[in-house]
Amino acid sequence: MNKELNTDTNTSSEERYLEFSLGNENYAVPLLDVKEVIAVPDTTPIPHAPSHFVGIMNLRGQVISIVDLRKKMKISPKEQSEEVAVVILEVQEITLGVIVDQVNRVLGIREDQISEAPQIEGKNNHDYMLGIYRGENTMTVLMNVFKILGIEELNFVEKQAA
Amino acid sequence: MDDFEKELKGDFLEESAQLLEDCEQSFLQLENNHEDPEILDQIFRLAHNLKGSSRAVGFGEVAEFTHNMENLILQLKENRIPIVESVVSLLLDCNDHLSHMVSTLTNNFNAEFDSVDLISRIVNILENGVESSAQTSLDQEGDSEIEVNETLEEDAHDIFEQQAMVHDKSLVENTDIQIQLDKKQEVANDVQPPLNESNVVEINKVQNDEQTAPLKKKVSAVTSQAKKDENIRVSLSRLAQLNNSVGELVILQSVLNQHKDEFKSEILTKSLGQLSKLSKDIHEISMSLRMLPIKGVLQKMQRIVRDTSNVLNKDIELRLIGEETEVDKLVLEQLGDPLVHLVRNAVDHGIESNVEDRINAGKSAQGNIDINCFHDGNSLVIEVIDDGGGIPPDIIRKKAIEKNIIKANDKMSDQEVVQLVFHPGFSTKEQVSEVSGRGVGMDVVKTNIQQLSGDITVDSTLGKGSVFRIALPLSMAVIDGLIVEVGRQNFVFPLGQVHETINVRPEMLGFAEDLGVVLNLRGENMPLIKASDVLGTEPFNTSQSFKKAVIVKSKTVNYALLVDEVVDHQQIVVKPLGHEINYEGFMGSSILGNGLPALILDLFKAIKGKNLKIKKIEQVFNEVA
Repeated sequence: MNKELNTDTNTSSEERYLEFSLGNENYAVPLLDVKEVIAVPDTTPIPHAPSHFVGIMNLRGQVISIVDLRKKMKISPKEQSEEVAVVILEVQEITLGVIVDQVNRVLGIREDQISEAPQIEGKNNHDYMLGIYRGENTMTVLMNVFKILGIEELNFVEKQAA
Repeated sequence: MDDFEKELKGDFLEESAQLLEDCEQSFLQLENNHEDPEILDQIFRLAHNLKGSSRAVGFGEVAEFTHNMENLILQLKENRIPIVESVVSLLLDCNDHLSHMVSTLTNNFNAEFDSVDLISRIVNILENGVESSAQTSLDQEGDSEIEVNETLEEDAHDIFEQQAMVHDKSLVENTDIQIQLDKKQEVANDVQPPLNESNVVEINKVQNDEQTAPLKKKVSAVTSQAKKDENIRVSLSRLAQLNNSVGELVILQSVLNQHKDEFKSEILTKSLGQLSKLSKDIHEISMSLRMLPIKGVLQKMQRIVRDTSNVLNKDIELRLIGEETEVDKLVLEQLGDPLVHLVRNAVDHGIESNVEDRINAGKSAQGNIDINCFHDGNSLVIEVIDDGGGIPPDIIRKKAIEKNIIKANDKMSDQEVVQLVFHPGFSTKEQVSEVSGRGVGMDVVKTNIQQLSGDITVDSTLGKGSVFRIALPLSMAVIDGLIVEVGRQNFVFPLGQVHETINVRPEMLGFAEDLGVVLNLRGENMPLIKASDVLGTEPFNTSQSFKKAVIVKSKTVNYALLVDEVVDHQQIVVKPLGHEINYEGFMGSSILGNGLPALILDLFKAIKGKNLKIKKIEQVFNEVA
């Protein structure tokens, strides 16, 4: 199930993001990191992995992990979930599938439209937030999925070299 | 420089590196086999190719240098100059110089080189023949390096002397000499003393063009003949793509095969059968594409042995056995360095320095080193065998104690002690030698081999010699796998780690509080462990009266693993797991016939540091409480 994505008209200084829903909240990732969007595939569970690791799937011969960010972020899934999809992200040779409740749209966001995430007392684990984009009645958190999962790209490089 | 030119130069350099490797082999063959005209033909062809294409892409210095080399080879071909060791050494030096040029140019297209010395050695042999060359090469070196500002007269004097020698040797035809005379006098009368490179080259060009003209046709005929078994270069990433797609094809094929009963039409069934065979062929071919004979790496060892034994003044013969043994390209690329270390080590430390020691021990005066390669099951085995003095365990023990590697009261068998040569910072040679370095060799070898999931051991008999044995997986990409079912899920066990599979019956079991359930297999006791405990999967009750277990045996682990079912045994294409899954009990994953990925379990590591004993015998047969 590949989705047709409506792109907003963009000017040159815009960055494009793919916005999706986790529960009733909106998140977005840089569109350049998105490889494709697919329907939820059959997966093989991974023993000894944290519970947000749903399993591994066969993406045309490539074995990739599927994670459920909702579990990781403790967000309750939407009740009616016909639109559930998997966003395949690819950053520096790490490929990962992320389950989302719904893929919403592609956002073209200018830098001046991004505001910083607020500092919240006693919480220092939202490094993954790249910023916040406010639409007319909506709020979208721009995120780095790999950071929230604690996947350090540097480690990956070291592993490759070993 | 535009992209096209860059690409052209890049391609040329890549090709040249290959050509030079071939050249080196031919030179070494030449030394052992003077008579074979084909070897010289081949060398000449290689040099000629190199000259032509380097000139075409604009590497003038390379072209000029190869041109000189070609002249020398031509003389050898025509039997004007005998093939002796000094000539072969010169050719090898030239080859090294070219390799150096090629690798430097790869990084910097505009690099410049100093080839004067080598060219003067070539010219010297060309003019003076082999016997006198040692002496005159010294003279010439003096000319070019020290007495750069010699006066005209002295230079001219030198040249006349050389001419006299040429006359004496009569190695060069009269007309050539005349040309040389004329040219040399021009040089001598030139304002720029001494003999400089470009002038010398000029001389040889004149000489050469006359001689090569009739040869050219012959050469091109030979070249076109050689093209028959030509190869094509394909990037590894494309091969990986192909392998992926073929993997998909094979999986789809097995899905179709599973459902073939549903085909009602005869033509469909028949086509499926044919398709099935075709898929299998394609699969095999695509797998074999990455496999290369180990020859390429082994032949480099000839040179290592030659040079190393020359430095050490030892007479050693290297024999290569099983050169055609195939191995995955990725493995092959990593093999060179460890093998060089091992071979150098065998020459330096293995073979006795004193020939009389050998003769007294009843061995031939000439030392022997064999490299023996073969497939053993799913592994590639490479043995480096020397018939030298062997590794003395007591000396190793003493050194190891001195270096605090072991304690004086450690109880170790001689065999165990000898393995200490792989310990970091261990070198038994009293002095650091030019050849074997500073004792960083062997542990680096071991690390390299382990990075390839292989192992290295040494067997040594005092007075008889040593065998260094490397065992490597044949391919990082395909393994023999046992598909088992645990908790309704399929897992793959590498067959190399499985000793056997058995049916567990109640009478084979025993129990002790501290050991848990123990399995007695033909008199041997081993702990029985449930795979579902290892994998943390839900227990699954089968109604069978016996259970299947996989026996795992290695130096470090020995246990029986209860599984629900052994499903199949097949070749498994190993796919890497993402970095995000960091449990070391998994070796990778694979896509099975049902299209779903399955995890490959490393049976040696999966139970590490876990207390998995089964607490009651009843739990073995009644898993659901």
